Amino acid sequence: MQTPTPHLKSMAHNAKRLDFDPLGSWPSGLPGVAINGWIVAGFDRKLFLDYEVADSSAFVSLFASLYPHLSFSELANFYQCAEAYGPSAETCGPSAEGCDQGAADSASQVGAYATSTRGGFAAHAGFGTSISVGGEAATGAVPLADLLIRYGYRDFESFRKMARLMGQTPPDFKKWAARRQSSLQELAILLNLPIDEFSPCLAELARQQLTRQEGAQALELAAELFLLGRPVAKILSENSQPWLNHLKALRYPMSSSRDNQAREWVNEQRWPRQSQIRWVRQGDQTGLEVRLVLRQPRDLARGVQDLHQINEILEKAPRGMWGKN
Amino acid sequence: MGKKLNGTFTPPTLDRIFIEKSCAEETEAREVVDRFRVFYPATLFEVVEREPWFERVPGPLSAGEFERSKKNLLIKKYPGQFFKRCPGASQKNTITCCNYYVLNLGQQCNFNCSYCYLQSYLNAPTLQVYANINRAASELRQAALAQPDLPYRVGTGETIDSLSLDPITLYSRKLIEVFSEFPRWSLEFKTKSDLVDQFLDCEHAGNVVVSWSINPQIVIDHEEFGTASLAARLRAAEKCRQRGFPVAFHMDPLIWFPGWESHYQDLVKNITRRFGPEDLSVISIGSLRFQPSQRHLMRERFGMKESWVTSAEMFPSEGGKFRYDASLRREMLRFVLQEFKSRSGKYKVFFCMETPETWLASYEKFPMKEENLRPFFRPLPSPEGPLGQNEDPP
Repeated sequence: MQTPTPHLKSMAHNAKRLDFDPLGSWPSGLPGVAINGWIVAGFDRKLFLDYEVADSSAFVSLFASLYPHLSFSELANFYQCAEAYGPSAETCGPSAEGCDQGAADSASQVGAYATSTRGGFAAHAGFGTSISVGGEAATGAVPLADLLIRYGYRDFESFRKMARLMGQTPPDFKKWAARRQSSLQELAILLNLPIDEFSPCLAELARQQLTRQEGAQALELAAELFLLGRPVAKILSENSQPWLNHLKALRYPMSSSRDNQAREWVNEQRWPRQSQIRWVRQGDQTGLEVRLVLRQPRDLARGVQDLHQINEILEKAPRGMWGKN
Repeated sequence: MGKKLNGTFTPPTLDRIFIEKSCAEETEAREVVDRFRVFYPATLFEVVEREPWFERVPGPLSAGEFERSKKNLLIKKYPGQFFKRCPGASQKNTITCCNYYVLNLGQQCNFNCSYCYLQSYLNAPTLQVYANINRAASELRQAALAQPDLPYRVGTGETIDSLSLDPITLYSRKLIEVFSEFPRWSLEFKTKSDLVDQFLDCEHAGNVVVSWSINPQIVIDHEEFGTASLAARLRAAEKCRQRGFPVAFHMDPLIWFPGWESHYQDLVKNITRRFGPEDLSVISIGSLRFQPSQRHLMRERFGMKESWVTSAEMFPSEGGKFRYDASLRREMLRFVLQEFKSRSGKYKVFFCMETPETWLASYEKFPMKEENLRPFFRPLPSPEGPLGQNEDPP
């Protein structure tokens, strides 16, 4: 597809800015970029290149060339920004944080934004045809549906629900979710929560230095504890142990208590000096991890002796350590 | 077919009944449609060209869609293969499998159990009854004719309760008739209902096992909504025994809750007081397990505070499912096993969907080493070429 020739324009006070706070910074020295008047990159620039495209696929193609990869959080924010230009309270929540308030001025320009219901079921709107924001004609609209499909989201209802929830979460959490590339599925537990009450936990999560996987686990544990009726203050870390461990101990009290007892017992023993012994949990299984390092073949005899010694110690282990048998 | 019900049967509440157009036109399919018309007002019925909500984006059901799917019935012809291996067979590396085959005559369930694996399995927003029972019967016959002398076990309760709609469909009668031709094969109706009157008068070859998934009443109250009470299930089992039908119980899933030991002990007492080892073809035990993907739906549908399932301490296990901590699992399985064995060593008790390690730790031997259980676990050749296997295990 041939890229249309853009026109260099200056930013008007009522410009339609879809400032969704993307992670990457726009290269300095370049003007911003707009597509059919919608500013989609370089939001702080005074000048922008406005591309006029004839259909939604050209819009999507151009947008995707600017942002080949967007996290769910960024896309949700983009959706919120676009939705802020929506026509009615039913389809449009409060203006998205960070979006240009010129949105309100432009609301009159907003075109069709349709979802349908049939037989009592919320049906998914026909993608590519009916979900667009900003103008009836394809040339004036933001083709949200096609954009979502481009980024792998076909289930519009789920996306919309989650995007609106994300809009209510603390800005740091949104940023965290964007950096960690958290997926919609990983964040789906938010659907069960009153976000305002749970917000301190989301803010705490953003403060923690957790990997994506650890973060997803922490979010789920914290959310489950909240749903189980634990006060937010208890869920937030109140001791020196890592937050994830704190959450696990709260959410799995029986298993944690058994593991802790086993761990304490293991730590109290005088194990052979060359061995490394620890109590480990791997999913539903627990056990003793024994590491012997043989630096040369003759160490093997010593290793075998160590194992005998370990065995003698294990014979004195409390029976409950291995579960009630 | 055409059996009138003697007892009282309250059909489950349905909002709509959709009939696939071809079912409204063909004699075989019309028979089951007409049966539904006896029980439900005409205003609920609608003949449809395509499956309702065909336009929904394919994928897992939302909580709302799952709830509604229980109230919207679709009578259709099943286009695929009815007769399949139990999904356990596809996980032989992680679980010890008991050579079971399944015959699915519908999908979804009008009961509502918090742990139900259908929550991770279904992606159609309707309760479905397959109208082409004659093709299912013919598939069965074809398979049974290929190996009439080997003891294959076939169940109908994998994707739908075997009997909860049976007073309407009367499929049990048809299947009992088919199995009377193959006495070495056995059929299992697995249910949480007490609906057995509709087939008790059938002539059978003693190879139709009627089985109940059972739990203490307190677990039923907490987790198995809309199902028959424990007392009603046991009464129905006694009726079946009186008519010579072999009976089985599945204490599955065992669910942990404070004081679980005494409740499960009472349950075993209750069963063993009423059923001797000779009355029961098998007792299977399995601990709570579910696919990680269904936990969001479970939380949304059943909450966290009220359910012993959603609030349980579950961990990812080998094979991908969430399960209790392995030592707790062993403790629970061993406890129930010992409760049965202490009353009689002749009860045929086995573990369902459990790992070889759990068998060893709890039973102290593999099932092939247990004389009572060997027939269930002995490998059998495929009765009809390579049979399709389900992808999503229970």
